Amino acid sequence: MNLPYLLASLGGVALVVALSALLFGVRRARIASAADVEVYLTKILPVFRGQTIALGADGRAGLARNEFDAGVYLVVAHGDGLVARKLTPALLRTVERRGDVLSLRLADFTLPRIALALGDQTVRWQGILSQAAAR
Amino acid sequence: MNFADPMALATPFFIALLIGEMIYARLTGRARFEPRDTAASLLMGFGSVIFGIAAAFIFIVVARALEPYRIAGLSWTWPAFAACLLIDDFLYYCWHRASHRVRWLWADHVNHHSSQHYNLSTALRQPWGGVLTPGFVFRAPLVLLGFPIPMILFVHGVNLVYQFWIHTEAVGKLPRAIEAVMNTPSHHRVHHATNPLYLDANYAGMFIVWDRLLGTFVPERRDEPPRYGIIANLASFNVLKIAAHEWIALGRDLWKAKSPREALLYVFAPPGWSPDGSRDTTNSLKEKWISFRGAQ
Repeated sequence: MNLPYLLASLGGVALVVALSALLFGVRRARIASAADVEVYLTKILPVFRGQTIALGADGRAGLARNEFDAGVYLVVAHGDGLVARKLTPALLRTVERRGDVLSLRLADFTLPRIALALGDQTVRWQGILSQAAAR
Repeated sequence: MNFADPMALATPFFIALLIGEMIYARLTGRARFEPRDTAASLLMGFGSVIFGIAAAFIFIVVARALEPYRIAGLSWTWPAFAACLLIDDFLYYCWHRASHRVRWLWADHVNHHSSQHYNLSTALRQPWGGVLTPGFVFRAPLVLLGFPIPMILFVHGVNLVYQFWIHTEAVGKLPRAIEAVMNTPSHHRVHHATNPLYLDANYAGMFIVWDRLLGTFVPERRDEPPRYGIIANLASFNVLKIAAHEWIALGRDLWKAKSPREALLYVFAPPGWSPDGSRDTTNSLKEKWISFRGAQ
């Protein structure tokens, strides 16, 4: 292991990443509809039957309640895909409402907080999430 | 006799193949790339080279300490080399299977599975915490059997180099004879998939025969395209977060453990274990999936 090897490796990394950006661009996933949330959760969960789904106004996150297990799920756009979390009492630290924005703090190292502007759904979801956090 | 480091020799080929795969993906759409994901994978690979020096040092110290107890003194012959390669591959299978079933080991190995993409850059997304896990224990039998330490290091490098090319969606199924014996892109796609059907399968390094013999082989199905990543996919491309996230989660669980037994189970039980069963393990996910499919 020597310095020229390490520097050449870093140069290789930079080259590949630049080429990747050139060929594929930087795409940001967007949650455009409740169907996006439902399709994603149906794909990744053994069982998902969407009961209630709400979307953040910026298209970056959504919330869904699974009729099957009464679990509440957070779906967040990340890179060109989505990630999801089941909002258990252990994971969901706090839920705060400011106007029509819900701020969630999570015990998750890569997703510590998220804000969703839910419009007229905000109060309802605050209740659902508070229940999820307390259960 | 000294051998070159296979990983160092292979690095230029890795970069050339990766560029080739990207161009192929752009032209055919048969593989997906996300530049930030690619950057994270490659930087994880770069970091693993740095941190891997410490892990290799620990192995060499342990190996030197074990050398007086070896049962034979094998020399540099082709049969010895072939035997070393084969046994190393079996020990790799054991280590890899343990790395998916024991949370302590998973805390490190999860880094390799943390991309939702599956391309050659994913092969280089390697963990940084080798010094925090007892990986050397799994290679110690080779020392005790009498293989020279440089040979053990070399064949292990060969094994890792082999595994580079199988991290791709650009290669479909290969001829049946190859799929029967060797680990291939198809077999390894299954290993990286989070579909319940595919969980905890295909741990092989070079030879898929270990999975076939030990009941962990699952073939890739046309009607079940793999979804890559981990059960709770990461929401960050920050390599420090990627490298540390499961160690942090394990630390939090240990901090909250109510008894020594609970703490031990957090460390040694399968990933997802919790005292109240509120989290999913791969077994519980498979059970839910099977019971739901049965109910349909």
